[in-house]
Amino acid sequence: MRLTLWRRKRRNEELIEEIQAHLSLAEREELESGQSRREARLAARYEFGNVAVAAEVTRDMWGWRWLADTLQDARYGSRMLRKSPGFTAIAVLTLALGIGANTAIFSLVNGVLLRSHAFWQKEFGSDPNVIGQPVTLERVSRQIVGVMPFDFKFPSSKTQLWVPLHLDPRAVGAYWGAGFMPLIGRLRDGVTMARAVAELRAALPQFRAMFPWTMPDLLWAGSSVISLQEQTTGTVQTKLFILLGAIGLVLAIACANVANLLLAREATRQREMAVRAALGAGRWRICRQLLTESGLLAICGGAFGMLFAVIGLRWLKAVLPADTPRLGSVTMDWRVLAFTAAIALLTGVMFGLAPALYASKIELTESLKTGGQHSATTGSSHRLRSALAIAEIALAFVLVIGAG
Amino acid sequence: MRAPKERYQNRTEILQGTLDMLILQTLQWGPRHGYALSKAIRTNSGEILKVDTGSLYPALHRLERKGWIAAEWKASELGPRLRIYRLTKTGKKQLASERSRWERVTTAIAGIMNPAKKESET
Repeated sequence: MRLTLWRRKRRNEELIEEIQAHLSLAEREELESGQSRREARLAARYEFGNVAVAAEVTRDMWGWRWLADTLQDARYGSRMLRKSPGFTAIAVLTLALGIGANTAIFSLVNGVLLRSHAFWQKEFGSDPNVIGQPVTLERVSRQIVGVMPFDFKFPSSKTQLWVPLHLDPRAVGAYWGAGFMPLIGRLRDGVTMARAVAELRAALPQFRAMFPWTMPDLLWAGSSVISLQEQTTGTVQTKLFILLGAIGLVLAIACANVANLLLAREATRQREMAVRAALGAGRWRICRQLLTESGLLAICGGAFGMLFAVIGLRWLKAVLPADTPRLGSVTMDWRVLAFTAAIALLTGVMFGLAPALYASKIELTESLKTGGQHSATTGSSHRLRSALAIAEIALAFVLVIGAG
Repeated sequence: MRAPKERYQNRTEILQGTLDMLILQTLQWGPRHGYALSKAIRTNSGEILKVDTGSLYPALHRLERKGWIAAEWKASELGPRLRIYRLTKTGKKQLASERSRWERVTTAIAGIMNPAKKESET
């Protein structure tokens, strides 16, 4: 890209040179036809029309104009943002918090859910060399019959070994209160969960009869069947999705806030926009300039958001229960980066578009006459800001009610 | 800049098809720089077609981008170095196709403008 720009710069110099050569040739000709030097130069100039315009329309033919324009916009935009550091800091901070929270939660969801699903689909991969080897546990020699995948955590992530349960019928009392002995099984192909529950409940009296004394009928009455996936991530999954939605709302509110800030700021820039329009900038051109500025804000917000996300994720990992499935495998990867970039871009457009559209709708003579500073409080500005405020309050309500 | 730019673009729009052809045709007689081109078009049209330079240079650069003409910087004894344009092989082909299109259009227009003459011919 640098090369392209460098080439473009050189080409521009050459174009000016070409045009000037044209001018001097025309001037020379006029001189030879007997005009005074001044007249000749004027005639040549007249002939050529506006040098700058000729050069500009010629440059249009080169293509890549959008790139040069965008860079110009970005340079100008960063200058404008530096000019009002207070506004920039607040806007970037607001966005960074919104984006950072989203990124942190997303990487959590991504790590805990999406990845677990991918691994879940993997075969029970085991190392054939380990199987069959003896291992001594509590002075009992046992044989390894299989290796579980690293993300198999049952009943908790602390469980590392599973041994067959050997019950001594003479020592029933020893097992009293040992508690956690769920039934584990594989569903035969075509068997639904509902049927599995029904069969399980039908078999319960048999299990109750295995006790040496009579057990109440209510024992295990509420037994049910849940899938392994639900068992390992189930409740966390729902919670995380709700969290992701809530954080998304927070980001939307942040966007509305920044849009409001931008609107207020652009009201004070009315005169600048009017001058640009008077110099011939079209509505789309002005709109693009403003969108580039909001894009710059969003990119800064995204960068700081990444930082917040790293900190936030560390905090979340410390706060979440240690047996949250696959918490250890939660990291920032390219998916998270892509997510953040997409979110930053989206927010840039979201909070930038309305103010840009509004600000680029310029009533030239009015803005120039009234001097700009106070001319912006027109009806449509008020309406837009009211709409933003209403949307913000509505979102906040949803959030509060949802949290309750 | 918008207003004069649009003016130029409108003018190019009207002239574009024919201006491209005129440039290609003029270059057929040999490589030329921009000023010589505009002068040749003016002279050969009996001072009727004055090519606006705001149309000429965009047209030249556009044709160059399409590969129909090629440009080269050459030093001139007059002083400034000049950008000399020449017709390329594909440019020659383009000229032939534009010429036939032009002839079809002029015949069609002539048919409308002089219906009596056409009837007397048949």
